[in-house]
Amino acid sequence: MIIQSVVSGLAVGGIYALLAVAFLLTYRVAGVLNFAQAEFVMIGAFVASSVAAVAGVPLVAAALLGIGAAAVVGVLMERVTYRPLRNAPHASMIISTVAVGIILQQAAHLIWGPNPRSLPSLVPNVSLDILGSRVSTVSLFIFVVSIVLIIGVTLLLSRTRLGRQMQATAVDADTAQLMGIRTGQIVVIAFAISTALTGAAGVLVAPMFSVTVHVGMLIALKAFAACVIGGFGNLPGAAVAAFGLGIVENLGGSFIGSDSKDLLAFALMIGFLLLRPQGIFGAKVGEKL
Amino acid sequence: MSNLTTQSSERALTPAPRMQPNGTVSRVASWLIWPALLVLAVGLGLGIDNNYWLQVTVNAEIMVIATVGLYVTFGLSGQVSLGQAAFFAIGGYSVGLLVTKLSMDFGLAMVIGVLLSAIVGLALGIPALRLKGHYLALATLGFGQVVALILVNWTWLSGGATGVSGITAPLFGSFELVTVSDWAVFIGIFAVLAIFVVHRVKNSSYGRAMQAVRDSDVAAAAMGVSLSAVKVLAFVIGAAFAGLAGALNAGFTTYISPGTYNLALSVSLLAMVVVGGATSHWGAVIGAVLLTFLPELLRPIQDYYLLLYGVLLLIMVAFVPGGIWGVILGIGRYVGRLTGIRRRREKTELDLLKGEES
Repeated sequence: MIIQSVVSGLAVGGIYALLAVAFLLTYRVAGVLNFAQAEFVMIGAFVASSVAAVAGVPLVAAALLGIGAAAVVGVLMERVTYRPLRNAPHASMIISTVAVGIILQQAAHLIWGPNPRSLPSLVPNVSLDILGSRVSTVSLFIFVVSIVLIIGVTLLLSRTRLGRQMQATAVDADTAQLMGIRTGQIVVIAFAISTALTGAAGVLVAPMFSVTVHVGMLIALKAFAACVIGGFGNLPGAAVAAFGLGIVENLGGSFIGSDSKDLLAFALMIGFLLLRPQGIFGAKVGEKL
Repeated sequence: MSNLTTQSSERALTPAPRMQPNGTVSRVASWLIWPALLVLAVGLGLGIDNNYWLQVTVNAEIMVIATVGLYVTFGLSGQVSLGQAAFFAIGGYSVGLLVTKLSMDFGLAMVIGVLLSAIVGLALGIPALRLKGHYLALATLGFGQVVALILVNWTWLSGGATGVSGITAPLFGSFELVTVSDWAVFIGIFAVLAIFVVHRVKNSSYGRAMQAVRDSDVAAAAMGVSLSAVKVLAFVIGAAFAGLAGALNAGFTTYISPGTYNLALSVSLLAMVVVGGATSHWGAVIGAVLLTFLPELLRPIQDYYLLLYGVLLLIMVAFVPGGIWGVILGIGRYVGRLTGIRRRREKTELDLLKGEES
């Protein structure tokens, strides 16, 4: 029972972790808090499910198209939010991402209609018997894919030339530009990677829920919570916190009842904001007043 | 030294030049606007005989109250709150529960609702505002979710998804607001009062401190402004006004349910401030009225309304940072400059004529 809870917690946590890493990527590199993330989950899920519904298209191709669509829309989003507003107050940027979220959600509503769609999982759903507990292959698959993707992004950031350029842009965009880094391009790439990861989360999560325009809403908000809990500037820290949140939520849900399960993440987030705003792994962020 | 301080305090006492679209508008005229607005609010309440449009007008007035409050938080002091719906809900549910469960008078319940919103705003604001701006956006976003989830899940308190109905009570003692018209006048007066209070706050020393914090917190702190006090005050004012709007809304509609108080409400309040123009409370008023009436007017193309709304918001933020009020000011200045130029040209022509004569 507990193992089962932990594994499904790790699966949900993997989704949160993908979103948290994606969220922090654009935040660190471009300073943009993307409040339209939920809609990129939705795009990934919707595009993949409608491509998969066409006869003869392999599921993997549908999944990749879903992820690609999210990345393309992400690049377009950079054009209308970051580029015109990079010197504006951060409030304007926040509102512009909220506006993009509204636009994407309504466009999806017009394109795909109100009826929920479904997307089969990339792996067959079988219950495995592990240490006497029944564990679903879908949960394991989500966990493994999200871990691989997150490690991939971490390696990209730390080991490659592109990744180091991204880090330099994150630390100081002006100096990075003086050093010959094309920060404009770097920001576009950061948006593309971030929204592709979000789209991947959408493709992974779609088999667990029915696909509607609201599919990403709650998970994106919980990923924000995970970012705060883990520490805002810290990608691996946020990912670890996201997995932890998934487990705590699932275990907590079986004890305190599923009604209050959703409250847990936000209560934890507010608790951390009030008591330890730098999160578990972060450096101090409080302003001296 | 003492000479220096008296000089600077004298300078602080002289009123800063006000932004006026047409240059000099006399003090009397700028005071006349308040009785004029009161007459307008009462006139709208008594004059509109179409029940449907009267209700839309009342909704617009309620939104004006919440929006001018958010203007203090966001426009004046630059703090992004994505959780105004939660304060709206606190005001609304305070009234709803006190009236239906304790049979309290509406007036008293409303006061308690506003106080409760302010207290919760204070409790959230004090720790959250120590953090950089975007953390407040996240904290208020999370807070909004917590309140929304509590309203649905804590059935013993909130009545769950079905909400609270039958919120009818006399205002005070035996004095009752019965018709829609009564409510329209009552809420209209509150809306004008709300604008007036915000107008006074803006032009007070606190208001100037808020603007200083918004423009540069480092510079403001160096000038001796207490950042935390100013930010918290601005946030609490926003929370209290949202609570007042929620309380009035609960009394007016007599029915509340959790579905009303979602993220969409918080976002649309912020949108009203931005679209109207975050540089002035008049912008917030214009935004609130416009974005309440727009969906009603666009009912024929309802499916596309929200899409249009998003596009409008995006365009306004990116290309019209001053909002509608900024555009109005710009037109006013343009017209003023045109007429000014003409006057000057006439004068120089006159001078030339004089020169020829002599």
